[in-house]
Amino acid sequence: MEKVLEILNSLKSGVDFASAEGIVTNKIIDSIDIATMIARIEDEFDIEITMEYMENKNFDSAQAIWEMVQDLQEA
Amino acid sequence: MKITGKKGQIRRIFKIVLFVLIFALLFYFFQRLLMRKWLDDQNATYMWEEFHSLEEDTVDVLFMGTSHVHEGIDPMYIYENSGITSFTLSGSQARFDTTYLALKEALKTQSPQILFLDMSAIQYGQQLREAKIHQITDHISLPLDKIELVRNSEDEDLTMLDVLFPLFRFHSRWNQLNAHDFMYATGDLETTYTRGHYVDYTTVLSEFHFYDEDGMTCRITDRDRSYLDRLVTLCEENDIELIMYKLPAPYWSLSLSESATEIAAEYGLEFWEMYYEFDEIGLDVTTDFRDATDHLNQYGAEKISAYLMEYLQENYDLEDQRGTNARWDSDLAGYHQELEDAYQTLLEAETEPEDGTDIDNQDDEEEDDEAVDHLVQDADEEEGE
Amino acid sequence: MTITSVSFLVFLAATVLVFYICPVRFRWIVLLVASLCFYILAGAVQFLPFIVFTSLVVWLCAFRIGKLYEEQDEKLRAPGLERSQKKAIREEYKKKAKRFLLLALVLCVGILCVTKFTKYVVNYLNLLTQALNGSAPFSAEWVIVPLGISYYTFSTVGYLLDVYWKRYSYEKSFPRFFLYAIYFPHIIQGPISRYNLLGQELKKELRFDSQRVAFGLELMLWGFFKKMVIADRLNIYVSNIYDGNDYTGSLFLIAAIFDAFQIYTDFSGYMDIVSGASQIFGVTLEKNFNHPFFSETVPEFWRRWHMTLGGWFKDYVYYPCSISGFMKSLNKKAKSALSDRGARFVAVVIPVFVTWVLTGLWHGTGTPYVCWGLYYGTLITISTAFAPEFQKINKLLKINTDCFSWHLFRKLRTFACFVGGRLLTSPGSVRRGLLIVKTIIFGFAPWYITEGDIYNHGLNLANFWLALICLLVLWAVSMMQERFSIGEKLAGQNIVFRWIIIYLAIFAILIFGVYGIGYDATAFLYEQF
Repeated sequence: MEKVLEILNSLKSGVDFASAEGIVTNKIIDSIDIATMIARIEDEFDIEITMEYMENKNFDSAQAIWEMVQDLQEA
Repeated sequence: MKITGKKGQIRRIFKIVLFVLIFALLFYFFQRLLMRKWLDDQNATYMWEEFHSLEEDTVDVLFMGTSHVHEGIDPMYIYENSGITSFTLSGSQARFDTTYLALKEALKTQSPQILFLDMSAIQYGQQLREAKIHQITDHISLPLDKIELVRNSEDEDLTMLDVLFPLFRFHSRWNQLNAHDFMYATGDLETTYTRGHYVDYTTVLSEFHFYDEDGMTCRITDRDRSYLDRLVTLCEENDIELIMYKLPAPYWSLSLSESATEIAAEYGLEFWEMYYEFDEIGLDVTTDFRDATDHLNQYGAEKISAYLMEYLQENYDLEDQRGTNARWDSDLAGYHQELEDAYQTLLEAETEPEDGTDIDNQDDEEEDDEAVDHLVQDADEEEGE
Repeated sequence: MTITSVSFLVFLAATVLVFYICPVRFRWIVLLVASLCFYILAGAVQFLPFIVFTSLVVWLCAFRIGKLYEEQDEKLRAPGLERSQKKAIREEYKKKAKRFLLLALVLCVGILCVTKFTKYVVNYLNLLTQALNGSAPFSAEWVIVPLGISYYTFSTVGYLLDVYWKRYSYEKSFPRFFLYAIYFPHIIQGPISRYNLLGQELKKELRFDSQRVAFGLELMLWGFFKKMVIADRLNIYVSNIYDGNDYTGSLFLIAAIFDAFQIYTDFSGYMDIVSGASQIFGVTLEKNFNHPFFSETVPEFWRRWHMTLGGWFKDYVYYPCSISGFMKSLNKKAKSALSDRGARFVAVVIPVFVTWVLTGLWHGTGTPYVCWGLYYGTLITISTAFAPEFQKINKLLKINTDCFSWHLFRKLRTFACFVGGRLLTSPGSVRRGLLIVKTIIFGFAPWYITEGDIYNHGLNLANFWLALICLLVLWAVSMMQERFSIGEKLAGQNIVFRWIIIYLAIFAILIFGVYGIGYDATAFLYEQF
């Protein structure tokens, strides 16, 4: 989870990603940030994020991202 | 706040009806404001306002047709000198379709005994200017006939909505509104007293080429011909004596005259070619015409009117209403005032420069119609037949 | 039949009548029949087979893919499966599903490409043969461009991809799906819908709600005002200047600015009309515009302008490209060869440019549109990749980034970027666009404005100033819309005020609208897609 927060914080400063909700739907991070983040996450956790997982709800908060990562690690 | 229940439904329906009513009133007002008014030598607006203001069943003779009629015949001259009541209810370049509609409208309030029908329109093979139709249709209320007119029209520019609701046709005039527009909208347009006639003392040398065909042949379309048929029938049904004639005018030819004779004969009528009586009428090409193309001026109009008046007195038993028709008697004063004003206008006449081209000046100043090559566009004013 | 015609209003009224007379469960059928009629009236009956074909192919393939996934899920539920077995099952079904996906894509996107690119290819081939042996045997006259093909292809292919990527379940009913594809408010110019949004809207119980209908009508009114009073009026001046030849910089500048507002009011006005119409039935269409000229950056602009197109390209081109195998291997190489920042740059730049060039080509074929794509690709790359540099500059120049003037500057800068993009495609060729820019800088001649020559290019003084006043009205209404719902605010006022506003709007359209003889009302710009 900390790694997730680390990655998020490297994208944008000044946002409290630990508690922030709706970071995609409220446009706190944009599509380019997401694409950048994905590359990092895949690297960091050795997973492959496929298009099935490319939904707002999987990226809308640090918690959601962490859950998606865990999902992919199990699969 | 949501309105529910039966009472709510009634309220809602009431609101919708009220909304629509107010909308209709506003629409009508803006339409009257933005409509094109014809207030100069094409005097359709003055003409129809005056016609509609007359008491019912007081006009005994109608002169109808193209602009030759309202420029070349002076009904008040006739009235002053014989007491015969007449009216020139014509339109610039009017073909038989709009003339038919005009007659139908006229018969709503008047029951003339004689109709003089100018036959100039047989030379038109098409509608020359779409706006000319509006000169008649915008002032009359015959929705079904208007719909039919548009439906069988050969003119693509003419649309149903434009003819039924001239607001759609003339809304672009919003930045050209003048005092007359507002006066008309509130019903305060000044009255005219000339019974449809246009007074102009301008004198221009005219030239006649009656025996040169010069491309002036009968071009009347089947459609317009069918409207002429209906016009004739309408006269028969209303016991109106129909006289088909043509005032002397430069843009007319022997060929057209012969065609007119043929057409009249098909209805059992004699066509009256007044050109042959040019000298008898006492017309003079140097004094009696206001433009080189077509129209008589006031001097010529008075001569023609005198001639026609005599004809009416000799051949018909029309009432001399002088002394008994208060309205027409008192209007003579206004008529003479208009004669004087027209004469003064001539004395002070200056030609005004035309407006620059822009999207709003396209009502009548449109591109030429190549088919009618003999129609000359005057630099300052619009001309027509 | 165009949207700003009386025939459309009559059609709409008739449809609304039949719609509300019908019992609720049949109302979607009314919309389907009406949409078919509309498609034939607004387009041509010859176009119908194309949209039917595309819809059928997509629906069938999605159906098949959905069924495959159901099979897969059943197999996966079998007890005692190992992880590697599960993976194998998934791979196997993905392969099968992919076949259907590719089939549909080739057919549907293929047809779209043929309609779009044939003319261009034919011209190119003819140039070649002309150079070789003086002949020009190829012709593109046989190409039919069905109404709304760009839009319905995207909205159906999007659905197919969503099903393939398991976003939601496939639609079992073809009539329902076909209604989604051909739904008349969105068929001609969008918005490009998503099945989980519009598709579900169309499945709702569509009931009458007087306030919702009133809002819909008011929205339509505003749309007609934007299109007929503002867009069509500005267009008179813009086409006069762009179609002509030697003009001065000042006239060109006004034309460029007017052109930006013209396309905005034209397109967003159209959107308001169709959204309002759809609202009468209770079907909400996706928003396509969110006051784009209030944007402060170019990326933000594309989240506010033609939103459904940007969204479509983001979800179906940009993301798939970003996480594609190709990009992943490229990123790996970049990471080892370049710095962290450099690698990140590569990871961003390529998908961005691919997406934007394709977006440009969606708008039109030819050099101007490719340039347009490159232009925006560059701007967006600069905006994102060099964000830290911009922050440093701001700090260095001690710029206050919190004040009104800074925000205004950013808004104007974004607007200027948009105008620049328009100059690539609107005047007809890139060369002409560049010539216009050159003339604005080097041949400004402001006296053409001050001495009044500007009133001789289609709009006389009264009409010119009316256009400006209307732009002011547009600004005021847009400011209000950013803060609250005008429909609701209006509903809260007294009836007299409400009706006055509505009458004002109606008669503004009837009187100031650019229609009828004497005006050249151009068709909506995005209709050729």
